[in-house]
Amino acid sequence: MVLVDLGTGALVAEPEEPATVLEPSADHDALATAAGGNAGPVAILFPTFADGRGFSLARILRDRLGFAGEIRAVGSLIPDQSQFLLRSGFDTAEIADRDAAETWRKTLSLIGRSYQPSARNPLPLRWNASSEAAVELGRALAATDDLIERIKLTAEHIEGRVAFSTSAGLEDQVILQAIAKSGVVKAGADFDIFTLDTGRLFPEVLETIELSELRYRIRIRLVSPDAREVEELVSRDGVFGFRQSIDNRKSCCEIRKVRPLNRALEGAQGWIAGLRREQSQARADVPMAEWDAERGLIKINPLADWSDERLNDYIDANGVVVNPLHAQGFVSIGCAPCTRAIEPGEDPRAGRWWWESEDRKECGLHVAGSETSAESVAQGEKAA
Amino acid sequence: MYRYDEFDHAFVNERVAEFRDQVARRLSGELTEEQFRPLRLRNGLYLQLHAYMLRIAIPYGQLSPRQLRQLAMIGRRWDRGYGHFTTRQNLQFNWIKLVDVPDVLAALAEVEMHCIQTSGNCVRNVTSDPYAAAANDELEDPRVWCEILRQWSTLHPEFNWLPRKFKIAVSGAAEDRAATAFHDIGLRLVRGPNGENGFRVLVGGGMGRTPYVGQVIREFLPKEHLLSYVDSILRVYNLHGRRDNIYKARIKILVNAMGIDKFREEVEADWNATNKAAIDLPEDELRRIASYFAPPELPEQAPRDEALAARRESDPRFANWYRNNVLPHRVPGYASVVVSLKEPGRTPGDASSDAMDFVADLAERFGHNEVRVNYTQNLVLPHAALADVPAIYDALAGAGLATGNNELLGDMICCPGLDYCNLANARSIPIAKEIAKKFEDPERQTEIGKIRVNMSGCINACGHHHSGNIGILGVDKKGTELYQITLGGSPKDDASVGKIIGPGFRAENVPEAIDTIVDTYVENRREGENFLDTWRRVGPAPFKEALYGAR
Repeated sequence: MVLVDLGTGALVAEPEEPATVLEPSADHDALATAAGGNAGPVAILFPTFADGRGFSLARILRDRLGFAGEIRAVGSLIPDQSQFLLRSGFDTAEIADRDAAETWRKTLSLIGRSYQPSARNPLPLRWNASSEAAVELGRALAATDDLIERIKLTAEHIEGRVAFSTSAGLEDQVILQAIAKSGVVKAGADFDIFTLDTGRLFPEVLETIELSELRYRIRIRLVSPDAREVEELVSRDGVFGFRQSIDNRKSCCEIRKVRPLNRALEGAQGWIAGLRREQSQARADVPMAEWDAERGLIKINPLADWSDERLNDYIDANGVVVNPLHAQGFVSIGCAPCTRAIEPGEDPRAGRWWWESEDRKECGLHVAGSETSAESVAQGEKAA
Repeated sequence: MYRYDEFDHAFVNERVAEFRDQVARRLSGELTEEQFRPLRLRNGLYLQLHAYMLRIAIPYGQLSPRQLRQLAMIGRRWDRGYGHFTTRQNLQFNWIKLVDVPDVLAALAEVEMHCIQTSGNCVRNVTSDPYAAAANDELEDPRVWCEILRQWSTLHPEFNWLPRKFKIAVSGAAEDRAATAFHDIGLRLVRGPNGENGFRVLVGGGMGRTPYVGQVIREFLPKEHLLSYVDSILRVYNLHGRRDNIYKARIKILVNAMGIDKFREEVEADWNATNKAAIDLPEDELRRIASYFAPPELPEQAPRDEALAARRESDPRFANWYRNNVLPHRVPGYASVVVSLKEPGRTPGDASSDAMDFVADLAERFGHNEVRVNYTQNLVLPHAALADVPAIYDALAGAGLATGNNELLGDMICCPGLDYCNLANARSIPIAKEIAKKFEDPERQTEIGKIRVNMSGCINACGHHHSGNIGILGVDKKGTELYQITLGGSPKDDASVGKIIGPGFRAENVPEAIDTIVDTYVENRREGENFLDTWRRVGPAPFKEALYGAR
């Protein structure tokens, strides 16, 4: 008897005798008994290689009955079934012909990808692929220091539509200028540039958008909230109801910003935003690219590693169009009623919802929830 | 449409490399024919009467112009310049050489196509409505779910060595245009109790020598559990389906032997024991796949086109074609156009490489880069502006692709039959051609109206004769080809299996018999009735009388 280790393709030097040999017609009781005994390997018999019942039996032993010992395939099998055996939960296969061992070893590595979850990889590789793509893009972005190069890399890596939501803040104006200068849109990349017109924007924000459109010859869409939802919100909470409670403020953000954003992101494969690690404590770990599982796209923060100084130098060097409010002490600019100017030395986001506490002052657009950041996926891979 | 990412590309290339290795081992004698057979079948390669036949999957019947041109190229380079569109949204090449197959597979992989599991005892190409995302009666796009099932079933570790082949169809519209009731699993998207969409799940339908209409195993399955539920159906089938007799190995036999209630009990028990979260698609992956199926952006068009209306007034041939082959679209000012592969005298479903290139050009010019394949063996341009329809017609007419008989008598479904297939007992294509000639007059076909005539050259029923309003089955009776006629079948919501009307006919008498049946129907029908209505009202007696009364 020759026994192939399906994990490595090598021959097992001194195989143990199986404790149980299961017929393909084994019922649930027979399986439970075999799984409970745990005295040694459980062998599953294949009367012919075309009889696939053994694959289900192994699956039930592993997934349902939690059997952790060796599962061995015995009987009539061909090397081309090795990957099916392995992924159904078998550890070893008994082969009649020692000469075929090399073919068994080879067939195990011919196909390295699978679409389904299986006993060997409970999370299918297929589902990981998107996070891996984000990790890869993150690495590529980190490898260059040049912003325009980062925009080009984003256009190259992401096949479908790339959304860029701009608030006309400093970061977003820098990114807008870089997109225009990179020429990716002219080269055919599908970039959708838009701003969320909440209905409460500063007039200066709209002026900045107008000026940017002229300067960069690029259209910026205004995305509006659902009129009926806004009407209902205001009639329920009042014109400035968001000042009454954090819940009110959050539902205002939800209706005026989050939902319109989600609509605009529908179907997009990438989403560029201007988050920087220096902006606040909540953003200290922002990755360059991450898989946003909620929205099913890759989120890109091309300025994640930029310091304030770097940002200001870039703006000066390139004559980037900026919002005149910045000169009056406004830093992070949201809706007019919820934004104030800050004093030198204050946290940059201290001017947003200043009556709330510091730690989670996010409108909900950029909340890291179930997303897996590029870094943590990379670490998870190493650990596995 | 769905686009391969790096993962999909790498996967199909690995599969091509694997098959190249298997062919080499077969040619060197390391693999016996018995061992090689299931491996080549799982790559769509059959040994036919004259040569190898390669069956290419066209998942949910969707093709881009680039893919269609590559198929045309394959036909020219490795076959005889044409291919055959089948009744399950596949394309078959009938004259492929074994040594060329790995290269053909590599050429397919280049354009995101494959032959994986188009044959063998595993889950086959998942089929769907050819008018998906265009039809005006659609609840939800079924292609998204077909693609999810395609990925899930591809090289599934547990379900690649089933008792017998396994076919799944998905329909998302009010009208079932995918014959879901005649599949091992038929999935209908329906509105659930709380207004959300889900699936009505049918199981155990099928044609072949023992035809069954699928039975409802679950009235409403929440969409998110599709994969885990299908997984449980397949596990019960894999463990309990018969393996001792190839003719009794399909799931329909198991379901009918156990009874649907007992079978349902087994499936639900397995499903309840399943860790569903490990199998069902995560929300974001579902969204990722769904995003590929966003409908094309159709520029606004006037809902009525004056030039088109004028042409319909002045050109009766055009008007006839328009009435039958141009279908309403959900967007005003647009239509779906059927490209007919049913010109009288030609083999139903055959398309030359030139025709494929031609349709690819049309799809680029007028069709928003989409072509669909109908299981009735025609092609479809799903999104065409009404204003372009006359130009499309003129182009098609010049290429012999504008036969205006969609869903009429001339739109027969027909298998390749004894001329190609080594399973067949009788010829089918020549008989179909004779019938088509008999009913060549478009006015007569118009008078008869919609009617489904299907023909198979053997009991395996690839030509869907069981579900034809009129079905024709070729059998071999002591060395002579004889044709049995069944009446009253339907592949739609009122799905039923046709009943044999009486003794079979010799080949030369079949067209006359069909003529008699059609006349009997037309004489008996009441205002507004279709063939099935009349048949169900009057029963077989008048048809028997007309066919055999004189004997």
